[in-house]
Amino acid sequence: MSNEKRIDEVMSSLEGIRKAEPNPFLYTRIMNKVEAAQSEYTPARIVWLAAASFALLVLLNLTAIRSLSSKESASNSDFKSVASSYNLMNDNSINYN
Amino acid sequence: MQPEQLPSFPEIYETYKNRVFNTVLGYLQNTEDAEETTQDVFVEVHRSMHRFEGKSSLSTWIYRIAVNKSLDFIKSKNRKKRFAFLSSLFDEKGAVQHDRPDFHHPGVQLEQKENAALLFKTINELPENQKTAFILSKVEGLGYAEIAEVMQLSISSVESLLFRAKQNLQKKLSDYFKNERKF
Repeated sequence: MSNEKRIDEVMSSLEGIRKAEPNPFLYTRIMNKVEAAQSEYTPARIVWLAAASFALLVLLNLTAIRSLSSKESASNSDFKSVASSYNLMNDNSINYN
Repeated sequence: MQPEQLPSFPEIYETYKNRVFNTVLGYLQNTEDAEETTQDVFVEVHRSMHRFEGKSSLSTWIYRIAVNKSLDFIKSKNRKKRFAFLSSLFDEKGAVQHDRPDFHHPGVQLEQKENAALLFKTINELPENQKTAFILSKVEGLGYAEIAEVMQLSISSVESLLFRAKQNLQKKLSDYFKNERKF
């Protein structure tokens, strides 16, 4: 048989092909997967609630940190004014008098 | 078809299960893989059917999902093969790569079994678009217009793809018969 004829035979080998049928239990497996996917689903409302709570937590922490650092600088300036009024500040000059 | 006229999911499954499975089988050429991917197709259909806008027919929409899931599976399998090859280079035991056994489509006429197995092996070597057009045409029996809708191409593009697919297949088969080489 010539190669051309063999090629033609191969090329036409799918003529009259019937559709293959899947396993009859496939539908059950599909529904199991669908139900598994649905049970993993988190409602959008809960996701937004979690995001809002997290944002609030960050805001509160930032506010607390800012408040803390402004108190520290306020207490620092109080300390300096008391120290200078009693001449307790170190001005790097040694008075041997 | 308007979204509100959509059949129920069980009805959709019964109507399209053979078409989807047959299409996927044409790509994957393995019954287990095709069943797994067919499940994925219908899970996606179930997930997305409430968003179906009716811009295309239901059939076209489902075929499109089947084509995309099949191509995704092939890409994923090829990635795993490349990784397995690389890891075998460092494997002291040396992994032996075996060729896939011939695929025999259950719907092919008995006297054409061997020829069809060779054709399916050659289809595997086609570029993606040519492979899709050929499978939808010769395995699924879709007309040019429906293939064009599924692939979102013009009818003339589909005709061109099929022409090139046929030329490609004939060339590869010619080389095969000249050399009588194993794939």
